[in-house]
Amino acid sequence: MKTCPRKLLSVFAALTLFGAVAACSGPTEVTSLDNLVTPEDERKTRAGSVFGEDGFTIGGRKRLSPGETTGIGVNSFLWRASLDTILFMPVTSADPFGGVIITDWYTPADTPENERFKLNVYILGRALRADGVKVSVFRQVQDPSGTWRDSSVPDETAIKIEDAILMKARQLRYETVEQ
Amino acid sequence: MMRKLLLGTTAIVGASILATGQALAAEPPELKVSGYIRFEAWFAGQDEEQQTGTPEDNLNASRGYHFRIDDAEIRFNANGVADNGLEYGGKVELDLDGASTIADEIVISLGGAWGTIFLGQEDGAEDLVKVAGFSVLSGQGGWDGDLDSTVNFNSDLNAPDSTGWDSGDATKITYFTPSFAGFRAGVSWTPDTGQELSKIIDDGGSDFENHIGVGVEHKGNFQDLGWHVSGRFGYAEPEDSTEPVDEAWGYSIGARVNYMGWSLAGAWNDNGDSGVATGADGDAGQWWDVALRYSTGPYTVAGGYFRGEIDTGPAGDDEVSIVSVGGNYVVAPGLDVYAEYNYVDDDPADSTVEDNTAHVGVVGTRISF
Repeated sequence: MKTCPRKLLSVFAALTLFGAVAACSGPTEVTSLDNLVTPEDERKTRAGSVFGEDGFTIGGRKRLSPGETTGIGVNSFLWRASLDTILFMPVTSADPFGGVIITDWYTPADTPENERFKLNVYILGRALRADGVKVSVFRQVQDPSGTWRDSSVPDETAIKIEDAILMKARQLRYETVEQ
Repeated sequence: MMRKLLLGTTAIVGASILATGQALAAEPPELKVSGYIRFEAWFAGQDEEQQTGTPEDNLNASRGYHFRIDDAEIRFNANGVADNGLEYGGKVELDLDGASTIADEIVISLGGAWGTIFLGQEDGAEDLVKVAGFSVLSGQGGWDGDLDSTVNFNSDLNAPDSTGWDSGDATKITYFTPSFAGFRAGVSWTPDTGQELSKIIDDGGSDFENHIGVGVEHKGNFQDLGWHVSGRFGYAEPEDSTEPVDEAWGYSIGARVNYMGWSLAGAWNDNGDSGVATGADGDAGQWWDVALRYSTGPYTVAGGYFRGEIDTGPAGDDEVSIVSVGGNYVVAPGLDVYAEYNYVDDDPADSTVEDNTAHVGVVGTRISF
């Protein structure tokens, strides 16, 4: 009968050892009641919460996904990367809440004088993901009478600019994580 | 003496947490309020509408339908992280189920990379890793729900109970390791399984003392395949009472596999001779269950089978079989509706007591916040 606490001690000792080894051997997850969910708890919470993912919480730090900030309405990495990428063009409008950047007409130095470009950049959400940015490229060519006329742009042009923005965003993210 | 030693080790663990550095809040503490409310309509048809046996409360289920709000919960969780990494928190869960004591689970947790200690009223380690067929059931939970409140069971083991070897929410200390590569293990010590939100000492009741519960689990996944397996064990000594009973021991193993919206789960549970009168024939029963679920978007459908048997001695076995099918639909975050049908076959060993067959339907809606 009274051997019970001794058994208990050895179980405690074994588990503490396991815990110590586990703690030293690599990625571990701290145990809390949040990750010990009984079947009954799972049934009760299956539909989530009326208050969204985090439920009704007072205080604490708001949980943000990478690049999500409270200051602007769209992903901050994509926003910064977009501005950096189209830095060489004059910007007429930039709305950080809607995620829209519109440039003015611009003729790059190495293109013919009778050709000009304009860019619209849309950042589509708060998440840093490949389909989170959309670029539209407009091109106009001046005809001999001096009138600017719309001209077609190859699809790859927009995609190349999107890639450049994503590359830059990834770099910014990487630098932030490094810090 | 051993008990002193045990208390000593607990104190050392406690001191080692506190000694690791000055505890200043590294992250702002937070308070989370959550809970749920449900409304259900129950429809039941059964052979034995009036109670004839002894196991359950006297039940008169002659009308065959009723509405109910039998359970609602409010939970307060307060958590913080000290700058030495100590994660500390407390939970108070108020269970509004008509019982006079509304506080259900009250626990303090202290955790870190070395493991986590839970102090208070909470399921034991043997319960917190539970996996069984009913893990994947929908609706109000089939045989893990409230069938015994409506069906006249004459057999004792009519739900997935682990009588005696499961310490329930009795006041205890639990240690859990952190999860390492999906593995986690825990142990609980409950001095008195009858001690729940009480300061009145009763060491001579019909419950158990020095309960030890052990739970081990592994959670993992490979591509679309996920799994959760667990083993649970409990042991306790009976308190001194006028009618001596056997010591409580039992174990359970359970597994769950998830693949592309499908979940299959099952468990086997043996209650040993827990609490059976000393010298008497018979045992405390065994049960097993299996269930399958399919979820797509807001829809979930599930069904399964439960079987419980108790050897009552010379008279033979009490046998209960339950088939449950049901479905959930999540209307909006925090709001779901569900429907469930249960077929119950209750076959008690006592030949003077009628068998009971029941059909039980439940339609409900639940708000969780």
